[in-house]
Amino acid sequence: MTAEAEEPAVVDRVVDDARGVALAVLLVGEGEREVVVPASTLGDLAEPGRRLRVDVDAAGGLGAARADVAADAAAAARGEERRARRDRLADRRPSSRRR
Amino acid sequence: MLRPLAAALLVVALAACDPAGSAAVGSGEVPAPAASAAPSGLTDDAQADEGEEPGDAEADDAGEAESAGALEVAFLDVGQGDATLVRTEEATLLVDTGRHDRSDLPGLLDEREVTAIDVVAVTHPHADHLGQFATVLEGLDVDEVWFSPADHDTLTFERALDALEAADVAYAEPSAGEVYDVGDVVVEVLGPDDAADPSDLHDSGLVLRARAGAASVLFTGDVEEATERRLVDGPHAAWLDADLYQVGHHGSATSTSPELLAAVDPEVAVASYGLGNAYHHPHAEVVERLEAAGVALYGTGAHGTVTARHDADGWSVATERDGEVRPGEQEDEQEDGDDA
Repeated sequence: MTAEAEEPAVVDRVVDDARGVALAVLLVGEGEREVVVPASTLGDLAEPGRRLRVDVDAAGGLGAARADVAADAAAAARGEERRARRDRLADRRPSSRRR
Repeated sequence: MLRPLAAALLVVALAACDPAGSAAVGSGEVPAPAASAAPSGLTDDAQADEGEEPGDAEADDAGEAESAGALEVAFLDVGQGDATLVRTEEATLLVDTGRHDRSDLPGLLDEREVTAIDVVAVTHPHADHLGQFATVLEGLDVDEVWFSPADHDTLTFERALDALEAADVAYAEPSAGEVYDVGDVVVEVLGPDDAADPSDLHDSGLVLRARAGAASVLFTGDVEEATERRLVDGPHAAWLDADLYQVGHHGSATSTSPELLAAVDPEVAVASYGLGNAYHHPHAEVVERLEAAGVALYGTGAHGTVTARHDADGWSVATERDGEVRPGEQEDEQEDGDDA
């Protein structure tokens, strides 16, 4: 995998197919193209929310993937920020429909 | 109120049956099971409207059943994802917002002349449920948004938060036991419960039952068997009973366990999935289980948009096209990717 070919990706979800094979659904790049691969090809990286650097070939297959440690760390910090944003939303205009 | 769809419609009048074991709402209290079954026909089934307030149950039941208008639930064909429109004369709710890599939802809503939505509920932040949330929020007059408590580290989710902050909408993260009034629709929240793991996006997803008059519809999102077990054994299990059931997790074998199906006891079930999807949804055991239970099964992959409507004559179902739900839907006719 060359650095030029790498794109950022995140594991959106891991699901089972009809035969019980675990599939990892990756959202790749800024446009978040979806790439579905057997979770086993990612090993320990097949974890929802995990940030990766991936090389997707022209046919849409996954050539290689590695953890993006820096992005993972930044994402953890952004998680707290997202929680704070949601708390502010609820404070700004809470639901009036709840009994 | 059922609007003509662009393609020919198949309308099936469903044989009425007895939705025994109906549930009641009100202040988080779980009622005793109904003492007797209605003779026949959903529109005659006052059990489905058990009292909002203790002591007023029978009077409320009769009044609500007679006065309530039609409930229309449109399971929109958005490929391998979920987006379901719930409408009555007084309320419009959208449960999930389609896929992130499609742009079909605004057009589907426009076809149905939807310009304002009282509540947009996103069961969980995966991209096949949250996908076009930002577009919906930016293009329509939305009053309130419900999310599950789960966080997700995707651009799709961050764009959703951006849209939320830019919009003048109310916001809530409903949890089990809560009851919401949306016009003439009562929404009971079965999940997430206190035991839900917020880091597990399926387990912590919203589980909602919407009721209007004598009609009810259950949305379980993508919750899986362990969560279903808690729902069945939990304090709000009576709320699972529903006429209409959106098949959990697109028909995956991870969901719609026999125990959940017995508790829901639906007449009609609709699976939202894309034809030829990579996961082979719906899975064979789920299709077989629903058929063995005598449930009328529809699927967006087979039928296109499926619209179920309840009025004084009971339930009827209109589909965009004729079809049959088959396990691992028609692999020999797979489309090239955008539904997968």
